[in-house]
Amino acid sequence: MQAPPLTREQQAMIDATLARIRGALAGAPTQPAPEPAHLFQPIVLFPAEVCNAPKD
Amino acid sequence: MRRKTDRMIDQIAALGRGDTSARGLAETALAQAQTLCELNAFVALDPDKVLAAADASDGRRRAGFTLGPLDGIPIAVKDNFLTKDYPTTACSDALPLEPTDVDATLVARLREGGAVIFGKTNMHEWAYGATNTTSRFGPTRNPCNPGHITGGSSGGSAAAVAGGIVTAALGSDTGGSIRIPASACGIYGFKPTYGRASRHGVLPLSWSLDAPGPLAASLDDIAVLLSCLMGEDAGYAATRGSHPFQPVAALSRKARLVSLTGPGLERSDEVDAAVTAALQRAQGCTVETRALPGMRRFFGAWETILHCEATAYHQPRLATAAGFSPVTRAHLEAGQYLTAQELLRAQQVRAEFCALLASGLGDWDALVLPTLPVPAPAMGVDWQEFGGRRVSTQDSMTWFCWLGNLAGLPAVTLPCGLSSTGLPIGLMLMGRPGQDERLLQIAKFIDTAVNQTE
Repeated sequence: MQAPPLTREQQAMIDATLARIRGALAGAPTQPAPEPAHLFQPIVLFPAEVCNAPKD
Repeated sequence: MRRKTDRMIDQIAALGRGDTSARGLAETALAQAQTLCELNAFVALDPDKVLAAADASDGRRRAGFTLGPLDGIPIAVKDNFLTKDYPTTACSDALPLEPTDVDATLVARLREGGAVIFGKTNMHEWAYGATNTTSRFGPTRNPCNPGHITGGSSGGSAAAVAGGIVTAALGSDTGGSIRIPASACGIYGFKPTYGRASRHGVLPLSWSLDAPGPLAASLDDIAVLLSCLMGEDAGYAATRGSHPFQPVAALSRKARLVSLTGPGLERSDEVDAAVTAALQRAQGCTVETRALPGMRRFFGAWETILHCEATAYHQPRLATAAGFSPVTRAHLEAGQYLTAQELLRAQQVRAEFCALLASGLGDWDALVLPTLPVPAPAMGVDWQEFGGRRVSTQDSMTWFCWLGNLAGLPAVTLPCGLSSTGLPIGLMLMGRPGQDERLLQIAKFIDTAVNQTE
């Protein structure tokens, strides 16, 4: 079974979501990419501030 | 119709004294669930299973031992936690109504502690929304006013606690899904630091934003629950190094709170007044107001990560799109159009946000905001107006809460007043990563000052 085509309302929602996200991220200053260590975590790609924080 | 909610710690004390039994608590809860069935808080609840677990608890107590403080306490579970004795559907038509023969780690920990698993609670489909109006089982209604939504996505769990059916329930939180309904229904909710409570066996929405945690009738209840729930889980790598929750002592030094403001953090006048009044009563805290710049960019990062991870998880189901509501399918389809570069850019912005919170706002113990910018919206109202903004009801629910998920912070909501129409208003505190105990300590101090629970 194939997915039914998107309705006009669904397509409008998708377009609005993408426009909002791209507008928000367009002006973002470029930062260093997350450190490679995070790429080796099997489940999360998460900033060092959280992963390396003391647990209490 | 709302019943004054007992606290779990009172139930624990009553069981210890022999003033009640686990069966007595279970029967009372079942009767209340029947009385409040119009709330639609539960999607699966089997009295025979509940009473069997309660009788087993009473048997242990008669034999002279218990499995811990939760032994005999009825606790409800959100329908995205796997449970071996109930189906788990995330309230979506996409999953079968069949048990999986597996318990999520947190459910297993509750059972090992003797808790009576009290059915599965209604939720927003796949947790992909914050109103609890989209569910294969129909919308959940707010115990404070059934004409209003509970918020979500853990809306059934919040309704079950606020309605006095149970004193505690499990929920999950990706952009506020524990805190939003807890605030809208006038109870307490706690999202642990990312990685301190296991997500193993919790159907994901967005795995680097999701955090499971408790909703309860008091902060003392939450402390008891966190002691059972938190800590390392061999089945879930992100908990590596996470130690169990430590007992919380009274606040011994002034807490430094930073109240956040600025564009994107607007709230209604009555919500602002209630939160301000609550902070004024918390004399042991210093409160500084600071602007948080860049909200639009940070929200864009959260939304990008949310859609990308949700779409990646659901990719196989999208081929047919069978069982998804139209709105959920549109969310998931949007994720298919986001590029790898955009996801990496979002991760960069996330790192920028975490750095800003860590060192760009001065020295703070907790960040403070209202939990919601408005009280629980009425059913069927799609837009909210506050602070010069016109915002969809969905976006108004996550308005503040997603901040805690993007940075993985611990966060708690507590009731701090009522609106002019008698609906609850909540105050949210977010702590530094890993400092869940300190956060609960501060919350307890403020709660005592505001709600005089002691």
